[in-house]
Amino acid sequence: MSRRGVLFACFVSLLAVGACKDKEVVSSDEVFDRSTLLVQVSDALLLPAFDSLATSAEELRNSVEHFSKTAKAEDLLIAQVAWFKAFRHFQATRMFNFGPSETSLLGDHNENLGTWPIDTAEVESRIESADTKMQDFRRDTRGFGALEYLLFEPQVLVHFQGPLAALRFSYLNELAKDIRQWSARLKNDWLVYSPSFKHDVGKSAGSSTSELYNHWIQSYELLKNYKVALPAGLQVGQTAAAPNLVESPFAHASMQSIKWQLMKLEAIWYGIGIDGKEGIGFDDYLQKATGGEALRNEIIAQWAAIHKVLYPIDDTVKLSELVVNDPAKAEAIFTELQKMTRFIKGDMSSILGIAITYSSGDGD
Amino acid sequence: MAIRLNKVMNEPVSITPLAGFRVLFGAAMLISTVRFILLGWIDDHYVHPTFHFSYFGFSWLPVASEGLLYAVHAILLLASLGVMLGCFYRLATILQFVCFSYTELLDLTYYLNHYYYVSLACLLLVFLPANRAFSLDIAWRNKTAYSLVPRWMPSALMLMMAIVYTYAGMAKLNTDWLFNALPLKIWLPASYDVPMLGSLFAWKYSPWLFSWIGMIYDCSIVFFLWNRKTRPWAYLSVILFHSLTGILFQIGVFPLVMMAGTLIFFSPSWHERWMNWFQTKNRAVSPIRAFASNSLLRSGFILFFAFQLLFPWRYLAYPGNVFWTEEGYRFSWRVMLAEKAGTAQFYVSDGLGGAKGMVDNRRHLNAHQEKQMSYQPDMLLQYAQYLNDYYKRDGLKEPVVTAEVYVTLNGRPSQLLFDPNLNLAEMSDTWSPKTWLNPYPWRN
Repeated sequence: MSRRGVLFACFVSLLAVGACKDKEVVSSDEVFDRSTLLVQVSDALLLPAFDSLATSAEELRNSVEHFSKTAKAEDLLIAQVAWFKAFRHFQATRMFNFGPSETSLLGDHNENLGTWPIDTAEVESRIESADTKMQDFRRDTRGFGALEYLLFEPQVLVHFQGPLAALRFSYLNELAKDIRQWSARLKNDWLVYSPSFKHDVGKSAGSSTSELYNHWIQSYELLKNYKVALPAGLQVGQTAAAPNLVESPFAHASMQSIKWQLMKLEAIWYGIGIDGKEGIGFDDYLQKATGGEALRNEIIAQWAAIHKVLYPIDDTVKLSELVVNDPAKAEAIFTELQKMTRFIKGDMSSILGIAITYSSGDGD
Repeated sequence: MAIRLNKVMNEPVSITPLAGFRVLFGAAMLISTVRFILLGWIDDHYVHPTFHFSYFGFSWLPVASEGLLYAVHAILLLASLGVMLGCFYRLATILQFVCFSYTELLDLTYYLNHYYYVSLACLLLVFLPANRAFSLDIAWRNKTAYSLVPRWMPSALMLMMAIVYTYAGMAKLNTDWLFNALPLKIWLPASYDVPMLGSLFAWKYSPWLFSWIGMIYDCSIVFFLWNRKTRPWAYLSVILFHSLTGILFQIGVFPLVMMAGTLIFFSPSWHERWMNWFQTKNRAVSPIRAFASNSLLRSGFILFFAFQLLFPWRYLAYPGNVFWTEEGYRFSWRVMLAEKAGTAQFYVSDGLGGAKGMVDNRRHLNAHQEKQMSYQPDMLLQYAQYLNDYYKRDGLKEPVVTAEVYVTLNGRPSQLLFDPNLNLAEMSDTWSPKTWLNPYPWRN
């Protein structure tokens, strides 16, 4: 027994010694340090994105307040421009819908600020009844969509000068205030949460890498399935294009919104910060994984294929008109986006060994 | 030979390993059930999903209401306590088996090998008199205590454990595991940052080393546990091995179950020693009366083990690679054997003429269900049937359900699992080979 014990101890020692030899340990060049990815995403993408959203939401709130005092067309234009800016910054935060972004009982970040389509009848009803609480689960009456409706609908100035103008302005102001408060809270909450996010370098379900990766995929799928496929009439049960289901039916920012969100999703892939400098992204992570190089190249090629069908379409093109007048282009965008799903949702999660499930569970 | 085996198996041996197994298994089940409830998995796994994948032949099994599901788990909790303490043992073992197996049968996507083992061990305990020593049934309910049982009774639990390990070891005898060090080459980098052990995981040769050690361990551990001389070292390796897998992978209570279960191999005197810590006085015991003479029970056990020994080999009856087709994959102790994933984009159109529409799986399935369904052919078929029924109710007259399914195995580039033009709504799952699947697409 004791001889076996000695042999066993020798074996374990050999393993330990072998493992500690520098030349035989997988070198740092071959090992991906997940903390570098998390730091890049946090400091160069996530925090600046929420900061920009909070700043632009503040500007939006101020311009809306000013418009509500004058009801002039030029002030409406200023408010509309501010809406565009804030809406653009909101798209850059959609993929960070975890951690502090999902702690509210009233719903997560995307639900509260980005629900569409808006129930315009319910919005009008709430205006008439002076219901400006914004504290319920009817997220289709608030957020950027509701604000867009009030600022961009065809009769906007007429309505703001009509008999219900005071109530309408009141609702408008509360909407802008709600967006500002929500954005300011998230900016602060993410600042507090950021060190924990960067420190949690594991990749099991619930870890920062897993959350980031899963919501990156979720955001991509949301874009593909709801920003593109739904208005294009490609979802099951649809018999024709549904131009009324575009994300931005009044300001006609749907096509730009697709590009903005996709650009940020791609920025996470390449690790491109808000300053335009390329840092550590998922592409670097994949490059260091076993068999990751080939997949990385496939994904890069597919990003290019998406660019090829998406970016030739001018920003001024209304998605609601494109899906009706030139459905082949919308379908082409969906097809190229769909081709990417296989690579980033299946192959990439497998090669990186990231838990893709959002809820925890055991395995064997 | 058969006569000799029969004689050996009916020899009286101490009951204490059997009683010890009962206590430890009951405790592990208790911990597992409490953990399951506290993690909110009753809601996540059973209450929230709108659709559940059923096991072959169990589609009739109803999913209880939320209240009843909590009640089932409460009963399971009490039953596990009863088994651990040996209190109302027969009723407790029956309830434990029924409640646990019921919850496991509710959704195929939550199949785990160790849940299957737990179900089988629960079933075995129903028929074994593990409460006839060191139990409240003896202390409080005046049940007759026995000191001896026929050898086949503790041996049945050992054999079950032996099947789990050795079949898991034999499943590792494949090119990917032994020579490509897959999937460990993919999985180990996730643990390079584990304190103390990280550098060991980062050692260049660790994926191969761990693969071979894992295979050798699984194939041989039972023999070393069975041998009195090697048993202490073997058990130390059980602790090390399962602690390591517990650190490396998210496998819940599996290490605990195996560390508790393997103690059945320990000697009666060892079990008596730890039992004596809890007993203030020795109760008078008498030899067991003719349990072995119950030929019906023995026949039942023989049939049970014949099935357990043969069923995992059914994959040989199917053409194709079991890792690709999954035919015969489950219930075969293929534990943590492959890194497999897929993406499944379903389309539904009306056969009578209509646009082909894409299905957003997240409207029907939770993330776990979608992940499991996306690469397992029988689940893909079940989901197609569900979509067929769903969209019929939604107004389509003759739904045509197709799917573009890409599957990746051990990090290989994903490939189409079957023809995306196949109407899955017209197909159903059977025991027959799934000839509609594409051939295994990779060379090893």
